[in-house]
Amino acid sequence: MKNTNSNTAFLRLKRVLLNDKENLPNGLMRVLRADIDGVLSSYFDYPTETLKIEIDLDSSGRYCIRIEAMAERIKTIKVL
Amino acid sequence: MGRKIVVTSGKGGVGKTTVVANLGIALALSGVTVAMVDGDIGLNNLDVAMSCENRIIYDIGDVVQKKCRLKQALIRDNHLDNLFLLPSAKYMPQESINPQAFGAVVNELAREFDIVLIDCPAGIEQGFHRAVSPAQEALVVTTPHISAVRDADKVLGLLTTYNISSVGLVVNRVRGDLSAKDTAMNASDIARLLRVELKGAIPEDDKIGFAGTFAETGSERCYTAYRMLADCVLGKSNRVYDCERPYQSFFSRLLKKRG
Repeated sequence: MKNTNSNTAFLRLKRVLLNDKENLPNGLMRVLRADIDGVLSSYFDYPTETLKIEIDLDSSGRYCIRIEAMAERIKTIKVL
Repeated sequence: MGRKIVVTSGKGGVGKTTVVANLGIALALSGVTVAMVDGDIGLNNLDVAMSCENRIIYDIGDVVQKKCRLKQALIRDNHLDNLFLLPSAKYMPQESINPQAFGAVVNELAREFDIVLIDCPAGIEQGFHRAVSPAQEALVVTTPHISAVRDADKVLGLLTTYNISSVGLVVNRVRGDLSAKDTAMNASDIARLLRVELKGAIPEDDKIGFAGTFAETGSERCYTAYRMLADCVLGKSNRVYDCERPYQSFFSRLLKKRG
């Protein structure tokens, strides 16, 4: 990328927009965690405290969501 | 039922009202019937941009309070028979027109017109909510300035919480002379950063600021840019006005194309 004024402005704006996105809405993690826990616990026997959720931003401003949990076993489910 | 399009930005002074007025004219020139609603209660300027401030008898406040019928409050454009304006209430407090009442007026207009353009007030508070609620589509207006783009990004985030099916970006007041020299960002760069479809780029034109519309100034560049924006809105084309072109030589255009 050439070092022009327009590129400098582009990169600065990109940085500003990324900084804005880093602040997740209040309570989002709590609600997301509760919902994911609800889904996972329907299918797996797992201790809730092993559930880890991470939200990062990549260099293009997209959210990378990582969900990790350690389950003891899969629940017996009847598929209709 | 006609299309209901809100023109919003978040930041004030980026040219929402100017875009509504000029887009309204360009759409009407394309042959569709257009109603423009001034959603900026108390700080209305769409009537001034359309040069019909002296012809207002009733406004949206009178329609909501049932002091007149909707048709009585509509003002026909000075030159185009298929372009109408519903003026905003000048002397009413913001909260006197609630989103439900505003939405009912917009829906009634959508039954009569092909396109209803809503001029949204600046900010993201009650006035924003009232103007955006009845819309199905949105055009977010920004200028190439960092603060305006940042606010546009916030508005794009807010729009996801409404029942809006399509969002487009209009970059207003583009300095083609600067972006041609790589001194300022161009409209495509801004759309790429905001991850939204670019519907229009409007070149900076001092005369528009004083006269309001391209029809009054006779600005050929703005005429072309708004006609292209209207074509994008109508789905006839997806071409956007190239603000840099008048400032580029044939060879620099060729070099840019080749990367």
